[in-house]
Amino acid sequence: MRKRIEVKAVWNTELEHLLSSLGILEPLLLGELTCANCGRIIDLDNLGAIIPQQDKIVLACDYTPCIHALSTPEVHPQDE
Amino acid sequence: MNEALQILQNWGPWGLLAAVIIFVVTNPEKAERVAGWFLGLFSWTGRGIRKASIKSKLQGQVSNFALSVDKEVKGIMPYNMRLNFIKEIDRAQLDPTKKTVIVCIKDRGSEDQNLVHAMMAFCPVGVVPQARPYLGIAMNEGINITVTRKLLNRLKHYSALKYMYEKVLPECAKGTPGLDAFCRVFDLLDESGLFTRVVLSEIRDFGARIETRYPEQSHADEAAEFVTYIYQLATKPEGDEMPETGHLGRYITTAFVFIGTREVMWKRGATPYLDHIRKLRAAGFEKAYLAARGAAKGIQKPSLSIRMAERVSYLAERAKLAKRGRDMSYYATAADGVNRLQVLIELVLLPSTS
Repeated sequence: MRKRIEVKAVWNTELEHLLSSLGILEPLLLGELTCANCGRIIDLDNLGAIIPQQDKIVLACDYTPCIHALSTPEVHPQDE
Repeated sequence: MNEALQILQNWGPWGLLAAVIIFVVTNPEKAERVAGWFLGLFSWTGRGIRKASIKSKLQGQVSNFALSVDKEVKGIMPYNMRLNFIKEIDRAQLDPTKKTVIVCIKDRGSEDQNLVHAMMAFCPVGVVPQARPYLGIAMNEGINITVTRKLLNRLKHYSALKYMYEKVLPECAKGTPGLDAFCRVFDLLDESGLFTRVVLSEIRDFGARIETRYPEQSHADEAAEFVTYIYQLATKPEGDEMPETGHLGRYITTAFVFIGTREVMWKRGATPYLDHIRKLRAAGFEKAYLAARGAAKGIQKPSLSIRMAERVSYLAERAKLAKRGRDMSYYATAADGVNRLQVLIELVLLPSTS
């Protein structure tokens, strides 16, 4: 049996509960949160990914390039 | 279906159940896809079933693909994917050294996005995972995009491919300098059959060799230089000489030996190829690929080059110059645009005693 690697996901109908647990549901509903990559205002329909960190929470809209840009690990050496 | 009916007739429902259990245990990836499809038939009954169906289908599609790639070259996609739906998260328990990404999966009309997003989240940890910290950002993202495209091609998921080409690629390329070039190079190498068989295989070994080192720019440079070497090799017109005999880096020391010039084979047999292998060994190369091309697809014609490649590998092993590794035979488009039978024989060069 091959080992499985976990990919964390949230089902869109359980999104409100998760956002509430992170303390960002209210600002999101008020339209105060934006995509950290493109600046688009995020709501419950266009949220693509949540990248929680210990000091902040980064949100990406459902546009794949934004999720891609924000989820890239930072430990790699930079390309010249 | 006939087999299932025959089992049911001969062994009854318990026999069929046993057959299903054996199938699930021996083919968990395929079973997951079947379960996703089966649950999908009842998705109208409620959200829970729909969620389970989408989860099984996504896991099955990605894991089945990962398994097939890993069968081609062991260790380049060593894991299956498990989609873990979470309802809440405790930030205090997050690992500060790792970036946690929670992908939103939607239940209706977003099949393309769901698959692409899940795959893009899986690729950084599921494809050549040991090497990832040592590669540059553009190369890392290029690998993710190329592997995702391979999956979508394999599934014939044309709407998701369209979404990738039209929406994802142009925007990703804008944000990451050098990504577009890597995607084009990897695409060409994939077409010529070298992306998984040589590039990802060597990158996997590269990662395994430097696993305990701190990632440095020189590591990323070496991996990129190796990809450039393989690209030059893949686009080289037949008969042209390569400027370098191979890639002699600090960690990747790999060369190619092309077998195919008729005059050389007729006049001198395997000797010049064995001499070349000796030279590579003396120069410090640790691995060589014997490369030979056969007839175009559809033409049944024995190939002298392929027979010679097999003979050279046998003689090299007998002369204790090298140990024969993987033997790969596949159809791919060569630099001349013809889809031909290609043979690659991996030789692990034994250290020179002189």
